[in-house]
Amino acid sequence: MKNKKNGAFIFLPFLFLAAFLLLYWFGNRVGGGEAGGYSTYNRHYAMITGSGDEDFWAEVYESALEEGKKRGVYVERFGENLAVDYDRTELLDMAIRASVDGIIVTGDDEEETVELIDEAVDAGIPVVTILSDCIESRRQCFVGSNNYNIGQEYGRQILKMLPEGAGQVLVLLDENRTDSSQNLILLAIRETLEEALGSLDAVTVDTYAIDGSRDFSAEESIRDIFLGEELPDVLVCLNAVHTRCAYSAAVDYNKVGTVQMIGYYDSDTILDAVSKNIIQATVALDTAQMGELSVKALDEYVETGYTNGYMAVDIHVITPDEAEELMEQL
Amino acid sequence: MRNRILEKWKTMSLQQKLTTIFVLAGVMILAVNLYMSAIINGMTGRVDEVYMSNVRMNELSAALDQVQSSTEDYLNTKSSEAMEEYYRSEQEFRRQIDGLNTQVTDDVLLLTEKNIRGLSENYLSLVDDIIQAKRGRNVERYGSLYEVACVLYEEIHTFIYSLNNEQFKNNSETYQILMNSLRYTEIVTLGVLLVLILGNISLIVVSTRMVTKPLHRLAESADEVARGNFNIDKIPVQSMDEVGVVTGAFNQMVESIRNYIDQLTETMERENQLKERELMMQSHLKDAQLKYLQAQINPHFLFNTLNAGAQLAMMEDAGRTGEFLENVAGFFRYNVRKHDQDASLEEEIHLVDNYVYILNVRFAGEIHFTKDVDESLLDVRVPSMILQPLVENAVNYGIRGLDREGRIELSVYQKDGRICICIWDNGAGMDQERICQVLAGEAGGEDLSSDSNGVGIRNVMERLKLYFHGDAEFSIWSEGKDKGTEVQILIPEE
Repeated sequence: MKNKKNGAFIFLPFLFLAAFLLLYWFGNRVGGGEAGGYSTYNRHYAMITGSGDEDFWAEVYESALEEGKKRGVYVERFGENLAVDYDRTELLDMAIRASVDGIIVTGDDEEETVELIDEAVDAGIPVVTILSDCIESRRQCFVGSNNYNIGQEYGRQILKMLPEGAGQVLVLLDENRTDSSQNLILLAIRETLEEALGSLDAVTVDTYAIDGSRDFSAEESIRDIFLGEELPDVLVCLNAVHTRCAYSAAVDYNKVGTVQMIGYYDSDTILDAVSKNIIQATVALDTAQMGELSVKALDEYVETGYTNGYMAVDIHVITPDEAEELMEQL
Repeated sequence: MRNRILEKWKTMSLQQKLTTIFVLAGVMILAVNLYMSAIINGMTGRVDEVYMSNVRMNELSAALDQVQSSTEDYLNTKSSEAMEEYYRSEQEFRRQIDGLNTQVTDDVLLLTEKNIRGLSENYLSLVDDIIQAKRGRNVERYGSLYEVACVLYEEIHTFIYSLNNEQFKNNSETYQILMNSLRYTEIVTLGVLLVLILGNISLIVVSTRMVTKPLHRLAESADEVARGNFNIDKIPVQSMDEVGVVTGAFNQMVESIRNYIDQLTETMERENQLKERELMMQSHLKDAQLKYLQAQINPHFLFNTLNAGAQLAMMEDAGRTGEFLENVAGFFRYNVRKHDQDASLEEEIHLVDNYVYILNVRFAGEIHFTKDVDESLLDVRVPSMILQPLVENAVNYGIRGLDREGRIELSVYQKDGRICICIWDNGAGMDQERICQVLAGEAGGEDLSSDSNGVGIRNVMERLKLYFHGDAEFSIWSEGKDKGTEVQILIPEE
């Protein structure tokens, strides 16, 4: 009897202790909600890419961010959160005025771009061009692949698709890209085909300019091809958006198999289409490598004052079998 | 620690205990309430601060506008007021951008602040250049710089606007979270208070039970004692409060009562033993007396002896002696037989005849006995030995030693539906006082003289009363000294 009473007496302080612990925990939970920890970094690099091809750039940015964090650098997709859509040159100008520590930018051969890059370099901000170069400028490094190599790869795939050595090839070009990269690719395709077939008599390589200046206009232009009377035997896409548009249109208009397609980039949807043989092959740049190398090049320059002028990014062709394997790995 | 508290608790008075319990409960509720209200106050404060960052951005935006408009005004007018306004606004704007983040972080908002700061500093130096160019009247330079500044001004605005938007989004989320937290706090407060109240109730229940339990035990023991059971265990005294004192006193009381009862029982037992011994002695004495008396007059022996005597007298032709002995034998036989039973009136009268005959032989015919008996009443049953004692009294106190001729008359007759038995003598008589004494049974006590057979008037009166259930009347009349006495018995007819 006495033990029981004492037991109850001991129990009480524990009850109150529990109540206060609950309160304490609750107080902490409410008080600690806001801090939402962030890390600080030593340097701030701005990454500026043209509009479009969002999936591709998202992957490049992701790997650049990761690489940067390892090196105590924060890479920002400059202007991404702004209420106004500024173009690449405007963003480049703002990044310079905002005194970032380094700039990663897609280059072109426009004079304005060259001037801005030079201005940045003058202001002590190192610049790395990515995917496409700005050869005239004093940029520190170009990270990308050789466009001629990419074209050769396309050419080899076209040859596989036209075993008889005859047919019509249509290459989709982005009208807004003013640099020479597309021309280089086209040249390489033609030269590869000519070399293999002896002449280009049996194979015609045409181009189709896609107007991407207005929103959604690319998709409409590509659908126009499928609505046309004559369809090419092989359709070549040079960027990820065009690839997805073409593949959707082929499915919608029931032209799968009628038109063979070579895509660009290896996003999940594109891999899926390749694995289903809707797209027969896709040429992909190693986006992770591209992001990594661009940060590495900037860092190298900032720390040592010197870096390579060119860093090559691997290209690979993904066939349906490989796509299936990759899909399984995912 | 706990033991020390328990010890302390035991020495407290009831009032102190109850006060401690209630103060403890009250303090706990108060403390929790204070704590909770502090939390809620803190949260309310933070709700107030939620949109502070938006306010700051708006102020920054206003300061930027001020710089831009004052610059434009100065370019337009080159007035000293505009100049002054420009410096003031420039200072204000600088003060504001000094509050912005400079660190490189992965927090998008902070990073945007950093960008705004960089752009703003660039803008301020640009504006400064414009002012200098204006002063130097370098029209071409300040014209082109102003265009750049305008673009930059728009861009900074866009940055501020975008940051403001993002912050607003975040703040709205924070606000929502805070509001949810507030609601959650309400529920938790309620829960905690409930737990606390339950805890307090159990605290009060347990502590008051500690106070009341000894009382209960005391009450139970008191009940036991009230039912007469003094063999209860001592109640343990657990605390030194009022209940403890009462318990101690109760224990002592029970102990005292128990001792007292033990003593009383012992005394009574001793007295009983004494009484028992006394009674035994008395009974032995009586027994001895009786045996003695029995030995003295064994009526059977006497009766048989007398019968033998009578037969002897017959054989010797002594007729009068034989008759005498027969009468004596008859007298004793009646005594032997009829002592505890009733008898018929005839038998009683016969006994009187025997007795008178014996006396007349002894006293040479001094007694003149006559009787007048209604023959129809001879079968009436009466207690035995009632007439002979009366006749004996008439002889002993009435006519013995009388100078003149002594006469005794026995008459039995019916009167007013009752039977009247009268014994009259012409002897010494009695005064009224003496009659009263005799009737009240105060006369002399038992007369165990040698001549008496031991049955007195009082005995006769008592037996009549018992036999007739109080319906018999006994009366004595005498007109005074030497005027004779009459004893009259009135009994109901059967």
